[in-house]
Amino acid sequence: MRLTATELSPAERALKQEVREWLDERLPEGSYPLGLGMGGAVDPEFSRDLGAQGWIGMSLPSEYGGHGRTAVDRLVVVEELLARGAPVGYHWIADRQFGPGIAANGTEWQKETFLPGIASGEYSFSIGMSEPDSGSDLASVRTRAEQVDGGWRINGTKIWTTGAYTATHIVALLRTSEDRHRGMTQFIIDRHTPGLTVSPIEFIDGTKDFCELSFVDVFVPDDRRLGEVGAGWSQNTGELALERGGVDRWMSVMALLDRWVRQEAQRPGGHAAELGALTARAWAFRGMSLAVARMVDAGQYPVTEAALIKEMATRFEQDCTDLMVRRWGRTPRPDSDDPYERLLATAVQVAPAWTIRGGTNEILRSVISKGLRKNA
Amino acid sequence: MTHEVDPDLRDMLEDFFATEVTPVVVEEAERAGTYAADVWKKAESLDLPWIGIDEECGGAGGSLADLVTLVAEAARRATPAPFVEHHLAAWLVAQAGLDRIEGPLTVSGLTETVEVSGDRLTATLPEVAFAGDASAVVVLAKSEGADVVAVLRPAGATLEPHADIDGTPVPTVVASDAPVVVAPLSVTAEDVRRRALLLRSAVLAGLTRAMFELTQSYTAERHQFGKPVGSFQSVQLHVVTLAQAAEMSQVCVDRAAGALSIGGGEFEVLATAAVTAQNAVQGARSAHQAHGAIGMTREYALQFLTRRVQTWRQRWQSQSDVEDAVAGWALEAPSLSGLIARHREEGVVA
Repeated sequence: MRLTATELSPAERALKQEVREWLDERLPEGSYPLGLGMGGAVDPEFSRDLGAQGWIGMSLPSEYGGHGRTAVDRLVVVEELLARGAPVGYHWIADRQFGPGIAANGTEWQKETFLPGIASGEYSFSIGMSEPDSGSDLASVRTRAEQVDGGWRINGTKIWTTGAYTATHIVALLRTSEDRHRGMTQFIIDRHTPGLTVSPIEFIDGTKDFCELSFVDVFVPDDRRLGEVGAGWSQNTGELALERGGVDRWMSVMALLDRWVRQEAQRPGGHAAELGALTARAWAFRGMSLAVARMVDAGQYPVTEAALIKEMATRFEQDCTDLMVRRWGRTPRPDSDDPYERLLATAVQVAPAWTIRGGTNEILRSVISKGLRKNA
Repeated sequence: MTHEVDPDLRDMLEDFFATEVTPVVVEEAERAGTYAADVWKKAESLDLPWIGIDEECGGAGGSLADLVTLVAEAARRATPAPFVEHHLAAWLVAQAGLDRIEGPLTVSGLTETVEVSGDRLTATLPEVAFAGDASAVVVLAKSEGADVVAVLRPAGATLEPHADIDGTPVPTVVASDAPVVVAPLSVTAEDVRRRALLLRSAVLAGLTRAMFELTQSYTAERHQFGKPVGSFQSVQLHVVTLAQAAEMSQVCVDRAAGALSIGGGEFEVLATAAVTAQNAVQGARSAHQAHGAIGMTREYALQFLTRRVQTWRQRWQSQSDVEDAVAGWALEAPSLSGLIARHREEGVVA
């Protein structure tokens, strides 16, 4: 494995400037609830406005409402959003993985039906993977889709599904046969399908974006099946490079860090070496994410590289959070008048999730080890 | 927009150092308190020590990307030869407009201020690597307030022998009213130190990759409890840590070389120096842990790498000074997120 160093082209830098200027207008400081990276607030109106700018589903083909742009272009846009703690929660999953997933594996009808709504920011997608007995061992999923006349009947439970309550669609990985890996298939399910009950599970910080999905004889027409029967596992693996190598894995606390560094600048005799070490690593992660985005644009599947970055970047986010809390002077209060202090109080509670969601660090290490052995 | 490292050059360098620099060569040079003269001669015949020096100055040409590749590949085999020192010295000579001086050269004056008066030098120069083997010590000095180059021939000085943690001879060079060739420098002392810091980072990146490779192959071969130790998750953790360190350091070095080559690059070089030192130190710890007792012995090659990590991690500037300097950039930038995502174009921050 050798990542290739890369920089932004003049056109990519111009896009960055354009996004920055638009966000200065659309999201002035104090006008929106500050978020923690991809965990930003759910704001369908903001998502629609962003979509109208052409900055959601950017890599999707233009005939389906996309803009035929690159993974690097998307990185340029999302790093501006995440740096501000922007309300990206509504469209995040659709933009990051299911837009590209449907473009790669969907039927013509699926592309025409779902991609324009993703690109315009009207559709919100959620990932239906984990189950009460299937977390890291994803191949053990039991929620079953049985073939019936004209489609599939689904029974079972999905759990820890972020954003399902406010989503318009859920992409669920379901068991269609007993074959451990080849017995799984992805389906695009309308959030309001009869028989599907979505119940919020209160999260550690009191929020209700985490959900349980109960499927009782849910009927889904066959045209909602994403990809071949049994292709779910490999499709899911292909999405992981998109899910894991991005800037969202080290930018959760960037809005907080920006504010904190300004605060440190006012403070005499600060712990400069800690700040320097943190800054250097943030710059390093940024370079690695950029390198991975270029690989995606070159048609490669940098699954091992993405896992390698996510495993350490999420620990970095936790280290940053801990450093800010230590340097805050007191325990941050969730009911503070200062929105940054409130956000830090949230961050310190939810930080353990960062090394769990999207593949635990333990799973990632074994993914990386296998990848390294293959390359050796 | 991608910093292309010439793959043919990298393959050639990889083969060259893998073939020429065996553990026996490294060990013998250390025991003798000298450099690997045969390796150097062969490298000279391929013009390798002159990569990164302009052809009109008697060099072999090539970009900074080529130069950091050379330095990292030499470090990957723990090559006991002054590729970094020679380059800095030759580059100083070229920047001063002097004629090429046959090597190996070494360099001094990067950490302390050396005053030269007229064409005579009286100074105590500490830790001048390979000074006993060098044809000249090229000193970054001051003369009447200006940055100059002073070329000192070893015959004009006395050497007090010292050795570094990795066995590199680092004598103190004492010059007493010694004759020197002095010439004004066309770049600043800061430019020289920045280049040195980039090359130190390239050495650390090369060492880190080598520690990763050695650890990965050892943990695949070594059996305990009836299976390779690398099949235990707790041991895999060390291999993963090393892979992460190696990839991160290399990408940083390549990006910093790119930034420096278009002018400026101070932030990128400092950030890279901070990252590569942290990664090398963490990597050395993981490599030793995964190897167990054998890695602690002189007969096994890991120690050539990890002792070099200890030498290079703070060469010319302490880790905490580097980190403080990076912090200075963060504190002065309008925003941290803007600083880490900045891109340079023709020397101007975009």
